[in-house]
Amino acid sequence: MALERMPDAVSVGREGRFLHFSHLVARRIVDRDGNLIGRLRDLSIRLGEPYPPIQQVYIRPAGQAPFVLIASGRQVSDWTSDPIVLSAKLSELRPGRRQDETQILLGEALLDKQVVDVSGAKVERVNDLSLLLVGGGELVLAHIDVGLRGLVRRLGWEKAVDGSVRAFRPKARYLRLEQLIGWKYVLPTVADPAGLRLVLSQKSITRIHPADLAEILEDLPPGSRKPIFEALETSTAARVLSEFDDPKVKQDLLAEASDPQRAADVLETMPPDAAADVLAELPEDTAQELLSHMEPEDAKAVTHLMSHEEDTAGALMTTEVVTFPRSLTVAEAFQRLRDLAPELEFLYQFYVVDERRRLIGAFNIRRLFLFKETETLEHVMAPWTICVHPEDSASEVAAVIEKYNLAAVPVVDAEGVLVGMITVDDVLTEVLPIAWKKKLHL
Amino acid sequence: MEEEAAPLTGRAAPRRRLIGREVLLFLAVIGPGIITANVDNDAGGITTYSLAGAQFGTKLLWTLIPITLALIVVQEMSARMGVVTGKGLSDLIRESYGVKLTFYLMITLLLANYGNTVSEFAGVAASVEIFGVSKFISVPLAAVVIWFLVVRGTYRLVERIFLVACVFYFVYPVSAALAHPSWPDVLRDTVIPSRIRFDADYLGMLIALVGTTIAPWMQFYLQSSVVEKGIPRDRYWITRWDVIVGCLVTDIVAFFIIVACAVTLNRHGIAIQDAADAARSLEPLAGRYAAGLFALGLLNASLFSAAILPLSTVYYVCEAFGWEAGVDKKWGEAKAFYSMYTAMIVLGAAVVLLPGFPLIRVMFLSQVANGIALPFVLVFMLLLVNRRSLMGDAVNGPFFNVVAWVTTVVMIVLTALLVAGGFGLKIGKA
Repeated sequence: MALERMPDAVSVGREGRFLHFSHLVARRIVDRDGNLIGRLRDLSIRLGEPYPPIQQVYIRPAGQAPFVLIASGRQVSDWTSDPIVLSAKLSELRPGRRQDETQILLGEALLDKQVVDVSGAKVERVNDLSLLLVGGGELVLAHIDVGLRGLVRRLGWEKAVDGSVRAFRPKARYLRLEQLIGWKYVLPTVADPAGLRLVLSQKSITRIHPADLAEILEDLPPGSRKPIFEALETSTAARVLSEFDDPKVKQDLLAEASDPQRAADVLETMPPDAAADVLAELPEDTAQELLSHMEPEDAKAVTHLMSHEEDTAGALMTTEVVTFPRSLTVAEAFQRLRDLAPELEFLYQFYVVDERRRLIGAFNIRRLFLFKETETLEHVMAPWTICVHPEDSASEVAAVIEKYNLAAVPVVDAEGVLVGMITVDDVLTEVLPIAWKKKLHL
Repeated sequence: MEEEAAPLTGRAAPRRRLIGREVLLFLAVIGPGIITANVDNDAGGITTYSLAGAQFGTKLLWTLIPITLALIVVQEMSARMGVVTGKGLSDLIRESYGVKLTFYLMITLLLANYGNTVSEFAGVAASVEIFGVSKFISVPLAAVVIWFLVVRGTYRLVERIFLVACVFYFVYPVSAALAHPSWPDVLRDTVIPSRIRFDADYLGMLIALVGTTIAPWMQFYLQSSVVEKGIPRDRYWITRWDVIVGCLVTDIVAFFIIVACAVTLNRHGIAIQDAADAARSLEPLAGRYAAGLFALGLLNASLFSAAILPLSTVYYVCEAFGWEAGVDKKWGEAKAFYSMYTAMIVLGAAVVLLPGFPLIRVMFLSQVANGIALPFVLVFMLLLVNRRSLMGDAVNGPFFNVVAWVTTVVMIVLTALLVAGGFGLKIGKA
């Protein structure tokens, strides 16, 4: 969602004035005595701030010097003049490189590069950057420019194009329209992992839904996709991973992961059935390698799920099931659920089992609220046990879920032992056609 | 090419056995090189090779060996950049050289590729004229069909059908053989250049031969398809073979088209003025069905390339400027993409409908334009592929650099000579 703004609405006085990065690049810079230092080459900012001030000014000295001189942003006394005037003396400037990896150079890492616009969940290409002069003569990065005007400005045709558009249609939308995206909604794709983590720690960035993030990452070239994915928090990465539509993307991110241990951590965080789905799509050696990095217990659960034939209940089910003994009270059950909640994805349907884990009843969270705290689960649970078997097909499972209006159905083996559970979203594509047919009386 | 044969990781290549799963892997990765090769033999390509054979006999066959070498080197560079950077060529040019250079390069390519699109529609017109169908019916129909196929997204299926239809090219070797050329002469002319001239026709033909074989847009197309396939670096060796085989197929087809035309047309002093003339090169094989066979082959090649070329052109222009692109996007999301694509097709087809439009000549001249635009693209490719910050250890070896730079310089010199001679090209004039 690009913001529209009147370009010159706030450019009264020096403070609050917007400058274009493209206008600053290659501008001459003089020291406080008026000696020519060179031309502006680039500007650096610190990542992870919504309005980052310019940290350093990179100056290419006049002549053929093979190094750049660095001035700090605070040493600039006037950004708007041409040449730009520094408050320092030429002799105080040092040649050098950028200080740490939480900084990026505007020209090197942003201009002409692709960035993620988090507010619109889109990948954009940066045509220009707009910088804002704030109090004390400090210059901060405010927006990136992704619009046509920015492009025309970069080509050096701003005056000619503006003039001819104005001559034909003085009120043309083109003249007022700037497509700007606030920097705090921008995720750069060219940055060091540490810098990316800083950006991703910002609130405005984390507002993006994992499903949207997955779609954006799929749009990015693989080289830009990987560092962002690897900078995500493990829990976010796990949710994003199960949202990818393209199996090649998952493969790319896991098989080529720079840290297999971290990839394995991401898989552990996912519900076992989702992890099994992802691993089943990978080449066997990659899957084995990742499994070997996982906690033995999680790895076992996942391998077990992978051993079932595709599109059977056994392959669809998750082993993350909440079970209770029949003698537990409602109050005790609530307490246990509170303890389990952080670990679980699905907290709605629960099962009562005997000492050999055979299924004897089921209840959902609503029923739990309807009974007194002292009541035992034996009275809470529904006495019937509707269930499916591991070798049942996906469509059979869907038929059961549809018929009994369930949110989840338990999976039991031949001895009646509860081995897993299938939630309705895992068979949604099978359930919907059944529901439609009924609705249309076919 | 030996130094390039090592895998990109820098480690020695382990012995590969192509059994079971490996074969599946292979099939999953191949495609971009072979498809690109077949789009390469489009209307302009068939016409240029036919004209070369008809006009100069077997005397230009020698060019095919250096052209093949250059083609392999250049295409391999594209594919390698795609695999290593995971980005398209126009993307890389924009990111490394900024807006201005990218803009002017894109304008050049848009124009050159507009010329190519025109030549594809000219191919449609020329081929169905053999069946006596007016271009005022065939060309608008082809434009509408292509537009819908691509925008409606059934394109992948169509691509396969077209590819299968490319077996048409195998009629050329058979026809050439049945015409009994003097093989020793053919062989000699393939290896030893003789009767080199410096007049406009000869120079123009040289430029067109290179331009049609190593077309600039192919480099963008190949790199994007490699990126889209998401080929991992450890499987790049397969892509390399895909590219090499594709290049060889392209040039073997070119070789036999030239030989067939040399024996049937040049020997009898027949100049090609329309598609029916070019079709006579298939008479030794097909007799009186030659015209029909040629028409179908040319129609297939024209339609195939008319579907791919404008689409890929618009795609990489959008990529360079960061505009939404792709047939999976809605019209409102990707306005620039759809308008440019539609404009390419509509304007490309419209020009061909002008009365007295010289079909053969335009197909040939569009390939000359390709050849003139090629060095600009090659320079960018060479600068990019040698950037260590981009390519790491996968930068070009010295052999690749020499071949590619020589190609670039030769093309510039040929163009300069052609311009100095005042562009007096007569080839293909009716």
